[in-house]
Amino acid sequence: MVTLQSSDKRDFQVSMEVAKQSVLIKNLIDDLGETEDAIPLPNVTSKVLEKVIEYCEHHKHDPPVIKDEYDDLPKRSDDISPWDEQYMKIDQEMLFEILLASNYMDIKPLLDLGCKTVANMIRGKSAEEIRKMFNIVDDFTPEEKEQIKKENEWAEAN
Amino acid sequence: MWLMCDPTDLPTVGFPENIHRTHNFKSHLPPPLLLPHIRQVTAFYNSGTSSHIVRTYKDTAIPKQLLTPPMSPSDSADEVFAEYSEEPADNYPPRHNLLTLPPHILLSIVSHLYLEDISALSQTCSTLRSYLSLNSPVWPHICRIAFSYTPEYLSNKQIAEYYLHVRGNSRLESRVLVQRERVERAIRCITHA
Repeated sequence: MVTLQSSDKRDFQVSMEVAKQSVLIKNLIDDLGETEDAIPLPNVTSKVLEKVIEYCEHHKHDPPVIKDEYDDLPKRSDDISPWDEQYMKIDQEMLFEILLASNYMDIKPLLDLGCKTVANMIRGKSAEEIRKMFNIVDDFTPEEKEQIKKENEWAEAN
Repeated sequence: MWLMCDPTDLPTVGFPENIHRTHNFKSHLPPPLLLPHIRQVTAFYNSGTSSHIVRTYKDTAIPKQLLTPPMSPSDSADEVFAEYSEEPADNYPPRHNLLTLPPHILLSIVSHLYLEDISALSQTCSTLRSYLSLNSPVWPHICRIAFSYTPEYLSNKQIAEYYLHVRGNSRLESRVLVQRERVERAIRCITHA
């Protein structure tokens, strides 16, 4: 078993195969050997780490990715499994936290899943809807707005 | 689809200019964490007695900054939202959004999108408009993330047009892959000859 410690000092006991889905932790264990000390993850809160562990637990028996799954195929975002889709039904704040945690812990499948989820949230939306969804401030000058309007008119006409 | 911005206005996207031709994008991610410290401990372990290793590991407890990736946006987000620290929790704006994500995550998200969605995204704010303008240096990276392939000898604008034309069209996408395989086969033939 491996102990992971979140930024708020909460310890999580996980099996080795779950822990090693994080390349960060795998490298740490491979280099330092197994240790009873808790491995500190100062960038990940307990709430997020709990969710990340849930993902790793579910996918612990997945075959290891020897080759990047996109090496031969263009990226697709419509191939999310039902469990993963259900897993990603979370608020936006948690979604971004998971993206950052999976990036930090180097869990590529989870990072890919997060990116696909965000891409699916953007798909089919107008600029205004994307702004509203992600709290993006419209900082265009009146001239830029006019230019964008003209571009859109041109694009529609062509 | 949308006009280019003045290239001099482009924000830095965190990549050296020559990265797309000579390096894999992944090679510019932050270096593996903890390695310097691990090497020190390993060297000590190899040179000293094994009884020292546990004490050394504990005594020199892993510095937290070594576990903090240099590109972590959480630091900048803390600064950005520090002004809200006195307000009640309900008044907090979302801590993260698309613009606070590390560039390679944002590019990975964009690589899942097609022309219309990228166009809409680029019209949300001036930062994303500059970031996703046709002359932006992000296109070779997006192309590589999506196809594991970047056309050679093309300008950023040409790669952007190429990518936006091909992306989402499965027939053209498969042609890109065939083209890539042919190029790779030719390179292999030349290098083995």
